[in-house]
Amino acid sequence: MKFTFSWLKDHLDTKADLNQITNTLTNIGLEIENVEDKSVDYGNFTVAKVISAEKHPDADRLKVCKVQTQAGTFQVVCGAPNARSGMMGIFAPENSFIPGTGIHLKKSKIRGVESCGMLVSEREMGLSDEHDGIIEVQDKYKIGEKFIKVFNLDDPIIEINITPNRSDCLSVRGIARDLAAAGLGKLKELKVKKISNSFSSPMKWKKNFKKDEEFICPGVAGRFFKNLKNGPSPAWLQQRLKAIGLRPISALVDITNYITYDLGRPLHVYDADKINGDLTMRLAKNKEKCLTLDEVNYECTDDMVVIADEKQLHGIGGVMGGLESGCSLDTTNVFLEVALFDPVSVTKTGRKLKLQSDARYRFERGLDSESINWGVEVASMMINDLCGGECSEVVTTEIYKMSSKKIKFNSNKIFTLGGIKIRAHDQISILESLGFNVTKDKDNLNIIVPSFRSDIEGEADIVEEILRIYGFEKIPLTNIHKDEEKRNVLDSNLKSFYKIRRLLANNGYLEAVTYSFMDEKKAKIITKDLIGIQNPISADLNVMRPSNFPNLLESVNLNKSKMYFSGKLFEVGPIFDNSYKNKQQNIATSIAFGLSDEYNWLSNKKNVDVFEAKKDLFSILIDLNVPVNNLQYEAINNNVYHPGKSSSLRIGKNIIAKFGELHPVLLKSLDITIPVVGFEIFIDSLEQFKIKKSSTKSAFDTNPYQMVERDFAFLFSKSIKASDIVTKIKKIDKNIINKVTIFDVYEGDKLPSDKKSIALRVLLQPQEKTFTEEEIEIISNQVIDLVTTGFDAILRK
Amino acid sequence: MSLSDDKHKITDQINQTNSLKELEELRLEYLGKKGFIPNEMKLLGSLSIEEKKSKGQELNQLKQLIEESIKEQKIYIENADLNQKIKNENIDITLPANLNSKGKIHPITQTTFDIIEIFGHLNYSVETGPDIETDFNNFSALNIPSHHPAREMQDTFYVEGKKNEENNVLRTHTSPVQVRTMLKTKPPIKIIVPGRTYRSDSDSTHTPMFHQVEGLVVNKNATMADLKSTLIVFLKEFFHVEDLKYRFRPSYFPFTEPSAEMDVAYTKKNNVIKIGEGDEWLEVLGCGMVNPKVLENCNIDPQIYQGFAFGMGIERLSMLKYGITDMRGLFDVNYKWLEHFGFNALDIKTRSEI
Repeated sequence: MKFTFSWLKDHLDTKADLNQITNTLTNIGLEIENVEDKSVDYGNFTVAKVISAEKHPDADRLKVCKVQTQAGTFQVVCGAPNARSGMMGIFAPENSFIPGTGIHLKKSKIRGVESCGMLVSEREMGLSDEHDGIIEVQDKYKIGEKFIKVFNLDDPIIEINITPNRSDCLSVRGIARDLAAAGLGKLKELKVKKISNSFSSPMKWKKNFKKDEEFICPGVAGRFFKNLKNGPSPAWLQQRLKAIGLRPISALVDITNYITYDLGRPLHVYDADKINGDLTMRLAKNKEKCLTLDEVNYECTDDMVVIADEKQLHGIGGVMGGLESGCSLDTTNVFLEVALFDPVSVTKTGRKLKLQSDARYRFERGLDSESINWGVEVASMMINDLCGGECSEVVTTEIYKMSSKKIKFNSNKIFTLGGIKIRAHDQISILESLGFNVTKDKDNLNIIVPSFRSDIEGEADIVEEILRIYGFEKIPLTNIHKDEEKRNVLDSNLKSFYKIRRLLANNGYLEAVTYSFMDEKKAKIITKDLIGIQNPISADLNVMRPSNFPNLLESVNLNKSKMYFSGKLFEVGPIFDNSYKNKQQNIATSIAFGLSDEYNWLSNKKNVDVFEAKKDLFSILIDLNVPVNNLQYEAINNNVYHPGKSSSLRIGKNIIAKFGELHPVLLKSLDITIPVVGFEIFIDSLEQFKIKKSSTKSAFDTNPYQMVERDFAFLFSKSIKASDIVTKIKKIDKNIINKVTIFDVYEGDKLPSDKKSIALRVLLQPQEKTFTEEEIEIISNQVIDLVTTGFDAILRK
Repeated sequence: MSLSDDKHKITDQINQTNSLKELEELRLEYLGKKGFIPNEMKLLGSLSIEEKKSKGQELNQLKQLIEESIKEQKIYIENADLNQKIKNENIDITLPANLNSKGKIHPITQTTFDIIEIFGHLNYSVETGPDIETDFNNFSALNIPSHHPAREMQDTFYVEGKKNEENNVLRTHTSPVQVRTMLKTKPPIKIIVPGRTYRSDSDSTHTPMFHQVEGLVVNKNATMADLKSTLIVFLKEFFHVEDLKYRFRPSYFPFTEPSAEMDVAYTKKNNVIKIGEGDEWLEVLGCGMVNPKVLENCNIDPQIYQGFAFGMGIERLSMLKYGITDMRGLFDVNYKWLEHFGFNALDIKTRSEI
């Protein structure tokens, strides 16, 4: 909402300066968006007279002018063809800032001739693109008069951000009322001169709605004006409209725009000669067309309010008038529309047609329900004033009267909800200044809400009204550190969700945060069952991501050019699939690629491999309390992981994690030519491994008996899995078999092609006494028997 | 020769040895089976009881002395040998070691940790909810009816779903978690809700995905004074400023009444923003008293309960606190950026700063 300072003063009798006004507006909830005060940037520029203009001795196109200004006479070198002796122009003194070009003016020599200051063009003043000559002003202005005065730019323009609830402040008068309530002056009385009628209106307003649809258009009134003259509107009106960014068109159109901004009352004027018979408010028929002022032929649906005569549509109710019956400079007879519409209906219509207008903006936020009557009077007065002519009686349909809203308000509510004490007397005076009608009954205030405040619905709204005018800054501070029951800050699931980031970072991974959506083309490789976005922000962000890998992988090539040839990255966040609970689950995803250590003289110059990923994964799982020895391996068969170099890890039914080398098909789709390994931890399945709060540790094992170790090597078929061998050996006796270590794996030339050799070290812990040689022998044989028979292996000597 | 003369001679001899071999020779000479001390011991048998006693004692003392001297000399010689040996063990100690790669925590996460820590101290617990929400939770329950201009305050993403499926918006704020929490929990409620949020908006200061943290307190007596005080405590703690210059001004949100926004003062010098003082204002959060209609929509009796809510953008807080100027940098996976703005894994905010 834009308006000028002088416009505001039409409604507000105030001595406050611009600064006080803008500060107060923000303090009462009318947030300042912008203040344009040209007196700051343009204050230096004044009217000056060119006393003489001689040709520059060394340049044909330049002139050396003597310029008489309020501060004396200066020599100015000027290139404008219209610079001539006797003309009046605008002078910019030395050291001033030229707004149109962004230059600080310095005294200079132009082709050897000194030039002090400048005569400016419209472009240099930021007024227009005109740069063919310098500004000329009429002789009636005196030397030294301010540029901003001459060009009517001395009226500061204020723009405020009106929240959707404050439709009453979509008018200059509404803003003035709020300022008056806040103590910055007095709201002037709205002076309306009644125009008497001299003939009977040849046209009527009609409404045609079903009984239960009456609310869609509670009423409409109008008036017929004849023999008027529609010319350009007066300068003061044009200036105000221009200042707020509207284009003056003609007196009649400008009047409707002006009243919209001045009083928040949209209205419409029809060229009565273009109307056949009476005008009717009704619902449109499906596919009925309406050509509106924006020169678009809209196709209506049967839930939209339209204005029709006997032949055609002349407007879309509350949104925009029709083109054909619009007023032009030739218009002499006019029929007026001052109507009310249901805000929801206007919103729906506007959205469906994708048609925005100042009228719609106000109707959908709710108009003063009493505004039909005064709207007709104000419009009549202005039309009569500016266009002359004669005026009929007011014609109106039945107007569905809204009863005033009444609120019973306990004045203690200011304290119980607001936390501040304000005397009932002060509460009442604030409410009254805002237009509320208040009577006091002990602690209760009986409040009648003014018709222009459709946003006020209950006690909480009243609290806000009183507090915002009284001042939010006066609300006292309280002690919030009161003792109360201690709660868990995070539940165990969330603890994992956050803690896992520290663990990953501690293992050398960089955390990234990427969008939850991605390109469907890339996502399709991972799954066919994607959740699409109906209105994506761009075509390459059109599905919810089914995996975090693609977003992380996209960085690999991007960062290569910045000389990052290896990397370890992770993201913790949701992935989406229709089959998940709430369609999403939280996952920690990591990738690693390139050298496994720093590239230097010590480096092993090896690329990261699956076991590097596995090392990081397992150390993190251990820190998350996952019993890693109970994890079961399960093959993965999808386009994400390399089928032969990956595994998912389960405990019972739950997948805890997946890890491995990423699938070459996935990498290829992202133009990645180097191997990448990665893992995913399914955070939602970690809840079962709660991080224990208790600091007590289990008892310390004081077993004093000497441990023994024995090494074995076996020849296995390649298909045998190491974890199965270890599990089997441990089963001999989980107390005695303390640890099984695989210390060598060999496949190659010295062995048959389908075989591999695995060497194991078994650590034995005696339980009751130190082992004898015989006992060790027995256990060793047990190990050998189990492995050779269980896995069809051969013991190597 | 008396034994005391021997004593000096022998210890001198021991102390002058230069090798373990010489030392061993001396040991055999004095302590070996046929050495000096055993020989002397054998001679004791021929002496009188008195003499035997005193000489025996002397011999034992001498033996002990020799043993100790040898032991000490042995250590001395060994150390001298070691020192000799390592004289040639010189490496170029300036060669670089192999460092572990340093992981980093993203500034959004670090900011979230800070927020959780501060509100954790104020006894709030953390709640979460899904990113794909129902229209009811995201809008209707929060008093944002479908045909109200307030809907247009937030550009909404809609996801495709099966027909009649309810959950089809990407939440535009974390507020639906207020609704979820109130529907499942009886007051008192005291929660914060950090999480991802989405709006169909993209320019230099908006990204289609961003993060918010929401706060909700519902009980029988929470007031606007408590709300204001809570937020001041939070902002002071978050920005580490003792005297925070702030502005608490009226605003509008459909789900709160009265509603307010909070601005903090700042100064900008050499492109570095300093929070807490100055003449410029930065909006940092929105808040208000929970609208009674919202309580009703969540089956909480507004005649008995009241409360407050607040919400803020985590990106904005991160950027202000850590001097990040381009919002989009937060979501680009640029390793150099992540290394620069990221935090060490163990950079845990505690009062003791351990």
